[in-house]
Parts: sequence; structure tokens; C-alpha cells
Amino acid sequence: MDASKALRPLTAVAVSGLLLTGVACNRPARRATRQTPASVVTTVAPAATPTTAPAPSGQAVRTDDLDAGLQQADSQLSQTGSAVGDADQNPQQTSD
Amino acid sequence: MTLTTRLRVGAAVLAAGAALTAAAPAYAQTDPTPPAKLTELKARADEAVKDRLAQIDKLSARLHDAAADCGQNADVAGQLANDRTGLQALDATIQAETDAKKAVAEYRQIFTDFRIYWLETPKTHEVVACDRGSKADATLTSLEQKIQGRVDEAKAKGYDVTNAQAALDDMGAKLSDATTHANQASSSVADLKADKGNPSVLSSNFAALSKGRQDLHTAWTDLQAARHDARTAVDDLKNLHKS
Repeated sequence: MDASKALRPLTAVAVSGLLLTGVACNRPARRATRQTPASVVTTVAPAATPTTAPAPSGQAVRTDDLDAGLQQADSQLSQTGSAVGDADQNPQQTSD
Repeated sequence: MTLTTRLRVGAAVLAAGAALTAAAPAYAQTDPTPPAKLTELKARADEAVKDRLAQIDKLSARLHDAAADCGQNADVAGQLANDRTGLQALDATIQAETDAKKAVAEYRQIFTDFRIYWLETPKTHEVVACDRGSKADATLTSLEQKIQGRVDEAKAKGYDVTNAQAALDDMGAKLSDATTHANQASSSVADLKADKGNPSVLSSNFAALSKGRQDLHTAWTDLQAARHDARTAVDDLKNLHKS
């Protein structure tokens, strides 16, 4: 066996070793690439725009919604007044 | 009889009448007299029980529809449910009764042991009035906070908000007082029990119900004042630009 023939198996082993090392090294890198996308698209919700309507011209602050709140309170006060009236019925009106 | 004598007699009659009126308590009970015949008594008892069961249904529905709770709704609803089963059992006992004397005693229990009209009805009404008041109170409290925000905003812009703030401060005090009185009414009557013919219990129940009504009136007046304060503050905010 001459020298070139003797070296061939060694070269083949060395090449395959290098290939295996390369594959082994590349896998974690790929995995990492898969886990952490190169470009992360973050969708940021648009900032909530304030719903408070501006004050009408000539007024210091908005009050139309406060008027609406008063109307709602009036409705509940009416029910309260009715309930207090029911509670006011004199028990002696019924015999037992 | 001379005119003077007639006047004296008249005055004496009036005085006696006044004394009798004063002596008779406002809550004087006149429970129905049991019918003499057993068959008639049974029929009347059945009718009386059915009337009361219908009233219990009405009261339970009112509690259910109150849409708010001062904290006594479940308690009173439970009492009404117990009254229902108790009355049904009593009616069954009366219908099966063969002893006339026992039947008379049982007949009386329909009234004295349950007091559906005299006690449970005003009690439930007072508890529901507290519930309704607390809902209105919550709405006004929320409105008060909203108005406060606008007062602060106007103040930051350099407006004089003294009057609006004073109205809001009073509103807060009135709402707090309304809550106290309404809760007092509800909690003081919720656990009142039927007198079972005991005059002292009857008397104390009457006093508690009356006090509850007074507290509810105070709460109601407070709520109306709070509403008036809110209107004042809002009007003041509207007119700030004119000053």
C-alpha cells in the first residue's frame, strides 16, 4: 500500500467528522432562529383617544353629560319616592 | 238643663272622647272574631290563608324586583318563605280539626302568628324603600364624582368654583346622611317578629316600624337635597363663563 492509498481512509474520516461537526453546530442555531424570529412584529394597540367632548364655546367645561346624569338620577328618585310612599301606608288600615 | 249645664256636659263628653282617643293606641289590633260554626270557621280560615299567600307572593316579587339591596333582602325573603309554609301547614291543621275550641285558637294564629298585613307588609315596603334609595344614592354619588371632575377642571382653568364646590360638599354630606338613615330603617325592621298576641311585642314592633318610616323620610329628604345640590353645581359650571 502506497502512502496516498493509506491516507484516503484517514481523509474520508476527517471529512465526515467535519461534516458531522458542522451539522451538529448548525442545529441549535436553526432551532434558535426558529424560536426567536429575526423580525418580531409587535402590534401596539392605538392609544385610547379621550371620549370627553370639548366644552361648548363660551363654557368653562362640558356639562351636557352632567344633565344626562341628573335625568337618570331623577328617574331613580321617582322610584324611591314611590317606594317611600308605599312604606308610609299606615298598618292600622289593615286589621291584621 | 241650662246652657251652662249643657256646655259642661258637652265639655265632659269631649274630654272623655279625647281621653279615649289618647288611651287607644294607634296600632290597636282588631283581629277577626272566629266564626261560631266549625264549617264556617274552616272556610274563613282557608280564605284568610289564601289572601295572605297572595300577599306574600306580591311582597316577594317586590323584593326580587328591588334591583338593589341594603343587605336585608335575603333575610326578609326567607321570612316570607317560612310564613308561606307555616300558613299552609296551619290551614291544613285547621281543615282537619274536629275540636271546635282548638279550631278557634288555630284560627287566631293566622293573624297573631304571622301578621302578614300588619307587620310583614310594611316591613318589606321599608326594606324595599331602602333598596331603591340606595340605588338612587349610588347614581347620585357617581354623578357627584363626575361633577367634581369638572369643577376641578374649571378650577385649573382659573375659574372661581367656590359656589359649585360648596354645593358639591353639601351633596356629599346629604348622600352620606341618606345612606345612614335608609340603612338604619331597613336593618331595624328586618328582623321584627310577629307578636303572637303579646301586646308589648305588638307595641315595640309598631314603634320600630314608625321609626323606620321616619328614617326613610329623612333619607328621602336628603336625597332630594343632594339632587338639588347637583343641579346647583351644574348650573354654576354652566354660568362660569359669565362671571
